[in-house]
Amino acid sequence: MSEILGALVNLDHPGHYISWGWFQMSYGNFAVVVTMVVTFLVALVAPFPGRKKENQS
Amino acid sequence: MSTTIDRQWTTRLRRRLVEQLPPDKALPDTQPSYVSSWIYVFGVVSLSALVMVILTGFVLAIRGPQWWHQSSIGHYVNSLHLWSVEIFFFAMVIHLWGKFFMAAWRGNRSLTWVTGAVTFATSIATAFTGYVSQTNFDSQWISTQAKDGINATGAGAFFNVLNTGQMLMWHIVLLPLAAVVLTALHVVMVRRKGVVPPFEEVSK
Repeated sequence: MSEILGALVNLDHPGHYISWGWFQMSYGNFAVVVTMVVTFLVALVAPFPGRKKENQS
Repeated sequence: MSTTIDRQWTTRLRRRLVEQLPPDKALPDTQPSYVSSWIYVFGVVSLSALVMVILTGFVLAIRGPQWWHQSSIGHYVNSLHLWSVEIFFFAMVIHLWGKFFMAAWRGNRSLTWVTGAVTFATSIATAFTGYVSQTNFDSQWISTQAKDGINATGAGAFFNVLNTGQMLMWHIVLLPLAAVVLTALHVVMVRRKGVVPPFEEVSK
């Protein structure tokens, strides 16, 4: 099982980094930050199950 | 006229506690309708992840480093501990963003905000001491990279990241205790003051 999971993402190489002037971040950390921002935005607009609209009583 | 029972410290403490946090506020039946939003979920996700971090941490503490490095079940519990931490921080940062943009310190809730912020800082220190306590090449790399930064602050005089035993004690005793106590205070503050309403609810 671990071999199958390991084959999905090849980690057997040096890390990849985003470099922009003095700023440097690994692609892994960048992906986590982007996922957090997307989750935050979705949480603001996604309908919550069971919530009634304000004009309904 | 106060009786002897009125003057007992247990009586006075109980009355003070009930006055500060009545049972219906501590464990309410309902929440305001505006709490029915996904943005209010991330606080309780953080709390649930923290419970999982503590439980898996107990198991790792009972069995020790050889077990979590060498056995399959040890790897599994170690991974549960790591991924619970990842979810904890993921949810806590979104919780922080949500509360920041809601200005959640409104309505005399400054202490709720401050206990949350201090819990966040304490959690970072707890995670850091965990990364340097793994007893593997990763922890060696992190501790040798961190030592110069820590020493530059002067904290290295009493907080030596190259001392595995000291880092492990900070990680499994002092910092989790601080994080759990601060989280409990934060939750009590939320219960006392209630969840912060949206801006439009206040202006109605």
